[in-house]
Amino acid sequence: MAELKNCLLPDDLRYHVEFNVWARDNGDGTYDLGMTDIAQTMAGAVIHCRPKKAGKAVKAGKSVATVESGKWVGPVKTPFAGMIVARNDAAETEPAILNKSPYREGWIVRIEPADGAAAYEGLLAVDEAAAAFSEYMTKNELGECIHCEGFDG
Amino acid sequence: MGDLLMRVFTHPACSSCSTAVRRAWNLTQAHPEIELRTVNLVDAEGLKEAQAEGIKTIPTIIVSSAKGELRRLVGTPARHDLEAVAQVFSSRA
Repeated sequence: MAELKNCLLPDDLRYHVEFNVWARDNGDGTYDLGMTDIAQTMAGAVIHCRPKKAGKAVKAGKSVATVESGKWVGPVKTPFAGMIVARNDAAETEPAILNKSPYREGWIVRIEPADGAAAYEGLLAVDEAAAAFSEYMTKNELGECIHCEGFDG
Repeated sequence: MGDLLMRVFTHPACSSCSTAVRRAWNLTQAHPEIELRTVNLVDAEGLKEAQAEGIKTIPTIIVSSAKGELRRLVGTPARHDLEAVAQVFSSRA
């Protein structure tokens, strides 16, 4: 687990810094996507999350979910094209899990990439991601991540 | 203003913060010598104050006097823990 200004970046994930998302290889040709700890800190309390439905094709850089927090409304973007094969209903019914468990319970959609594992391999591994997020946080003048009690990193 | 200050660091995303605030409020009603202040990390000023105090988890409660920090409780405090803190420091105030 990498730690950057108290923001956590698990070792077993890959990251897209600009979109502030992570991807997990499920080992079956599908990949889960979700918001990073940094993203959930920037967003603040998530009050709505609406993931797109399974069966929908998405292009790289397009939205797979709309998230609304107390201070922000915007898309969660996928770093690779593919088909949404599942969505996390709990992210919609209990959006606070995006704050409390951004890397586990708070996954948003499961995607089968159009170009297989190459899409995932193109994302940053944790060490590269930590360096890139460090620059990102400096550029955006972000302070430390602060976690709610019971945070499940 | 009381001699002791109890600050509760909170954030709207924190589901247990309201419990911490409620317990701190109840405590300070029984111990008026303790001034209660909530610090909301949604606000830029609140976030700055939390970072200055090195807070990484919320809720966190800091009890301080003019001389500085006396006690720090991280996480939702049990009622008896808060009461114990109040008893110890109120008797000194």
